[in-house]
Amino acid sequence: MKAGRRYLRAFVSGFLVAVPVTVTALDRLAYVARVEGASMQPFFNPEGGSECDVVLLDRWSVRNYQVQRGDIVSVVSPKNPKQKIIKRVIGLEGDFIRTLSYKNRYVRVPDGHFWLEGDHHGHSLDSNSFGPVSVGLLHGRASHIIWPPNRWQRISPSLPPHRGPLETEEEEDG
Amino acid sequence: MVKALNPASVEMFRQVLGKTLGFVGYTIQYGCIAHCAFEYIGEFVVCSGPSMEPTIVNHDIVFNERMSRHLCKIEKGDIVIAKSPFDPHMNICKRVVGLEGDKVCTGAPSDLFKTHTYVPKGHVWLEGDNLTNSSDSRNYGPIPYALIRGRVCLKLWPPHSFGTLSESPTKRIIKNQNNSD
Repeated sequence: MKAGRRYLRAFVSGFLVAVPVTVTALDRLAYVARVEGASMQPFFNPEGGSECDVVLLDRWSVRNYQVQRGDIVSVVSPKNPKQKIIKRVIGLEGDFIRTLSYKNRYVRVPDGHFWLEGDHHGHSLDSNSFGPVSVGLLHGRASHIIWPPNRWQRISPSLPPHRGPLETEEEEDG
Repeated sequence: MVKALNPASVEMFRQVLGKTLGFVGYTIQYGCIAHCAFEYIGEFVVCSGPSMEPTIVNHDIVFNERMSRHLCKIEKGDIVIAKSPFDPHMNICKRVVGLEGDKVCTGAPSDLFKTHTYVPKGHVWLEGDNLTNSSDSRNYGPIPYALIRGRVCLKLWPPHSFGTLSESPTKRIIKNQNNSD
């Protein structure tokens, strides 16, 4: 009986340590998520079908909301706060973007926002449908593909060809 | 030449190492408990600015509870703290005047012809109680629900106005709308 009580106490105190530490690690350090859907083909889920890629989301590097153009990020969907979407950052605040299917042909990304697009244009619910996304919705940066094992890789930022901010002439003040 | 350490100093080193590791372990554990409390239960916020007068004035301290936001139970008329849509490092404190699907009045109350709009899916319409001195959804439009950090439920400072917060004084909330939850 005494051994059972001692075991129970050890279990409860271990549980009380493990749960806050795990929750904090998932909130602040890293998160693991499955990428579903075809909006980022061919980068994620190139074959479609049943096997979905699983990615490691780095939450520590976005704690100050610093992202680069070409990063793949997960954000909370502006249309549905219970859902997260994974897209590529095409433009940051101040950039001029030539949109694909948005209501305006050219858009200046407002302060505190960024422009997201899925690699599979036409099959992607992204900034081309709901406009620039507020950086406050940023959840994490996809840093590695960790499943399936034959697709293990580190994800580095890269803009797709012909998708990027328009280069404007910078006025140099002497 | 390596000098053999005498057993007493090895023992002292082990004790110091043990205490240090114990200290680090407790710090991590209590830090994580604190993070969970502030993230999922509530936090204390010092408000500044005139946009919520007279309900909340400059330098008031309020308690921002997080559970309503995680359970998606924010309601019309609640005062919320949200991340500013234009600067994610800044927070704004406003009242929810419309949830998704609601009809909200976009112009000033003194306009002859009132303009209305419907709040899109996944967004909320925020307005400060001090309509003349508040930059809110009337200026920048509805903001995504997920930018909300929590609901302000209690004012803690100054002591003479301790307690729950009053309803909206502005009468901008259009009630009796047929909304499904």
